[in-house]
Amino acid sequence: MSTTPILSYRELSVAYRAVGGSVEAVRAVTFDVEPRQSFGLVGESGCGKSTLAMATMGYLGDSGFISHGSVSLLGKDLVGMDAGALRAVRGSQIAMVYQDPMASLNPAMTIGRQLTEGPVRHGLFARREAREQAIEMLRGVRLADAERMLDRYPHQLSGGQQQRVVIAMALIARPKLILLDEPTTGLDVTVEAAVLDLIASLKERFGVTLLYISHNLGLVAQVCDRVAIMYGGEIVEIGSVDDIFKNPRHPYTRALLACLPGAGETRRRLPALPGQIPSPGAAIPGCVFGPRCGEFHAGLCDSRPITLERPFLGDHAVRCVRSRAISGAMPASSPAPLRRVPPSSPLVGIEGVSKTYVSAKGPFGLKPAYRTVNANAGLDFEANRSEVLAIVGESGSGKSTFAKILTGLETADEGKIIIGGNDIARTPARRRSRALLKTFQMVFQNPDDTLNPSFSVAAALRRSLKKAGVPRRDLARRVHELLAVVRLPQELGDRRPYRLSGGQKQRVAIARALAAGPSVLVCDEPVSALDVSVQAAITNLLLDVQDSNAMTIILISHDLGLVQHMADRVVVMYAGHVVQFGAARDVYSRPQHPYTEVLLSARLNPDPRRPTHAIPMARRESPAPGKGCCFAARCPRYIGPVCDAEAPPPRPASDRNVFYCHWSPADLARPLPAMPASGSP
Amino acid sequence: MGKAAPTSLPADSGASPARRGSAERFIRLAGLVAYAWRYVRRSGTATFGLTLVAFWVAAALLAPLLPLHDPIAIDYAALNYPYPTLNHWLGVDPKGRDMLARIVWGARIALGLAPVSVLCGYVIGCALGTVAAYFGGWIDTVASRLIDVILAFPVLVLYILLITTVGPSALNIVAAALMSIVPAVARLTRGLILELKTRDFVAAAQLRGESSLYIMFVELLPNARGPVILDACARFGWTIVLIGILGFLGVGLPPPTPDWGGMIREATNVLLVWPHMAIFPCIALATLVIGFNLVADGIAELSNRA
Repeated sequence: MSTTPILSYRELSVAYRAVGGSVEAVRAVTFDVEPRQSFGLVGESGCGKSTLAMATMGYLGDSGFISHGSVSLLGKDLVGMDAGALRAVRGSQIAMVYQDPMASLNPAMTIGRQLTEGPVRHGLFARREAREQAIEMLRGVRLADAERMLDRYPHQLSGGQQQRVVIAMALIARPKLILLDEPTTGLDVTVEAAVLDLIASLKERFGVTLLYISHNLGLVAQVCDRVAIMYGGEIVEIGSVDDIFKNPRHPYTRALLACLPGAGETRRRLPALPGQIPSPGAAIPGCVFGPRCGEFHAGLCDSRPITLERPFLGDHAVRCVRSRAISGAMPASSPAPLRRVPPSSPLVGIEGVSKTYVSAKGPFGLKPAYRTVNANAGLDFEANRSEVLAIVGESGSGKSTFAKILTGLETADEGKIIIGGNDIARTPARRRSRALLKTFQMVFQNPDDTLNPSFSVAAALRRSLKKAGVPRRDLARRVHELLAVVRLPQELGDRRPYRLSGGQKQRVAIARALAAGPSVLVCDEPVSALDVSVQAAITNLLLDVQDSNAMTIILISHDLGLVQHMADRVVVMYAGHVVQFGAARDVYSRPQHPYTEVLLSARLNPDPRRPTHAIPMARRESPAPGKGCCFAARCPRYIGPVCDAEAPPPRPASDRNVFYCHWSPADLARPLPAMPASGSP
Repeated sequence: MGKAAPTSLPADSGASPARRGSAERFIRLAGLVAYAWRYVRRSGTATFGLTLVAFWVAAALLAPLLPLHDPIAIDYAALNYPYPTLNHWLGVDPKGRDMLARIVWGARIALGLAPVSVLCGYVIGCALGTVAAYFGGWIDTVASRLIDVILAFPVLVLYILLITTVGPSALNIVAAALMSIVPAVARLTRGLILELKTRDFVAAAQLRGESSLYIMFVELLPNARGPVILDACARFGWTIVLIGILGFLGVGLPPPTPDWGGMIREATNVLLVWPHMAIFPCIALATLVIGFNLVADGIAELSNRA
């Protein structure tokens, strides 16, 4: 360690002022980020990682303050620095990329102005020179047509383009260090892979140091050299990416890695972490993770403050007194797959379901230029009794629209959805019979939106049971039963949603859906808004209730690991079309359709030794949109005009797997050139 | 944080209780009041505002019990020296009636008509806004345009037109106030419901087969209560000013009813000679309105803090 670290934390503690004292959100954090390193800071929500980033940038606001320790950038202490000097540092040496690109771009300013404003203000460039730099930067972040991009407004760009602009903004002042706070969380898998690849190549080109802040272990494994795991405001483990992912020693790190779906056997019970993240300021004697730890030893773990120690070779530190005893196999997960009832006969048939949204846009609404958006274009597949059917695809692929049509929240324009001999594709929920309403129930994505804030848990469940026809005298008993099924303590029944955690809310939402005794449970991204350890518990619960009620789950998700873990069969959608449909195992092991191939190649493995090689998508003009193959414009295996002109025929890859492509299965066996998603660690 | 105040009242922790003794019910009510007072005490703004409002409410309620002069009895002798004296603490008005009695009795007019107007305005406005937002389409278009038209009208002209046509009465004052309360409340509620109806719990209610009426008034409207209550407090003050204006323009309650607006109107002719005759009712009006506005500010402050 002869070089000066770029960023150095020494015993840094950050606190927030609260009623009756202050609450420490970050405690005694000590680590260095070396020049040209990619450093990953990992933790679940509420662990203090964003507070640490804000403290580094000096953005703590009125209520936050550094209570102890120091942060220094290239040897200069940032804590005591006056506002002017701090502003100069922020403009020229540190930059930050936030999670939501739309929130960090000013919607009323052109891209060009936003890019040049900072460097001009800091006197780095003259205005004309800044414009040239901006064009150069936009080219650097691989945005086509950089000159015209300067005059556009943020809303005219896609999410991926916006994030590229934000990265260009961060880079234009040539900072030494870039903080990336969940830089790809809102982006689609394929866009995420491209953005990460871009960041890695820019890092090489400009020699910047990167500090990633993320909850995504796959991302960190793929792009970082050194990783710190945060829990309850403390660093619990820090080491090289191989140390953390191959030889994790802290029980929390191990639990996080073990509960990721997608690795190992499917449908196994994921080892979910019990309990919840401690609330900030909770007084836990000894180890913060103690109350949730499977390796907890009373008298040893709770007797004294635990320090970060280096008991191993190399620079691998762990905040655990029992780290030497913990090694080898990862926490045991129940090997038995959660399945007693195998899938059987078809239950719901979907035949050519189409839905087109018409958006009228014209100046002042005078001359509407009709634009049709195909949300679902001729979907054909069926869902079997007691199976998990997953629908995967990127945002805008029409998977949520399909869920709404199925449940009656929307109606189809064409096609049939057959259940029990009846077509329900055009029957909205308000015209559906009680029995039909009870057949389809739904679990929604956002736990904060899913429950009515005005009703207690028990009141919400009582209402659902009552509407499902449960007699009044049985209501109380059934509410108890439902709470038990979703493993919530009975006393939670009196609480209103604001006093529940995200995972608890999602459990209540599942209980509410189960109240009707549905035969089909439509789950629209049921765990994507939850923390990793909570995701595992909810996934287990969904598989449990699916199995014990012999229920069909239609799982809508963009999380390929979760789908692989849960699904029996998979429907892959692109731009409203089904491009591939087959048994999950077949689709994952032999992705036939070029889009499936691209999608699966972009997965971020939580294993640094299995680097992601995302296949880049093409970008060409489609001569006749709407005709031909929906994926023709982006297809890396584009054949020629036939793809634009003719709808691709169904190709049976096996008896359980169909895809739609002009290539035959034999042609597609040829591998495609891939690009690495990241610079090699 | 930032969301609505997560402090639940003790009253709603249990399910609706079975019949209880009246003593127990009184203790419960007293507990609720004490709780509310402790809650309000955390904000100086709300405490001060509530004190002002409570003062005038007490004055209005106790008016018949207080040892006051008759508010419409005329004391010609006092006109020789109409200023505050030991007999007439705030002096007398240009017709020789006791100012203190008229102000205290006037509080009954303001505090009687304003709540009725605001309450009716809220019932109609919330229903209109909720229905428009929930159903959307042509219902929303018609309702929204109607609201726009009424809000674009010079309201004062409308009142005078209304009241001069049908004559001044308490009912007509309420009707006049409703004309501006209803559209404003409907517009506020409509905006809130438009946002709320996209939430997933509404979809969940549809999927269990709830009627539109249930979704609108049980699922949606209660969740808009925060901003609506806040707006109601401010609108109380605003309506009291409106009633004052109507009285001042001579289209309020007919004389000799002790109405603050009317008192100010009667004092305008002698304003330069006996300014206190206008100033005292103005102070009464201002303190009550400020009280309501401070309560609104305080509630906003408390809900942001919690």
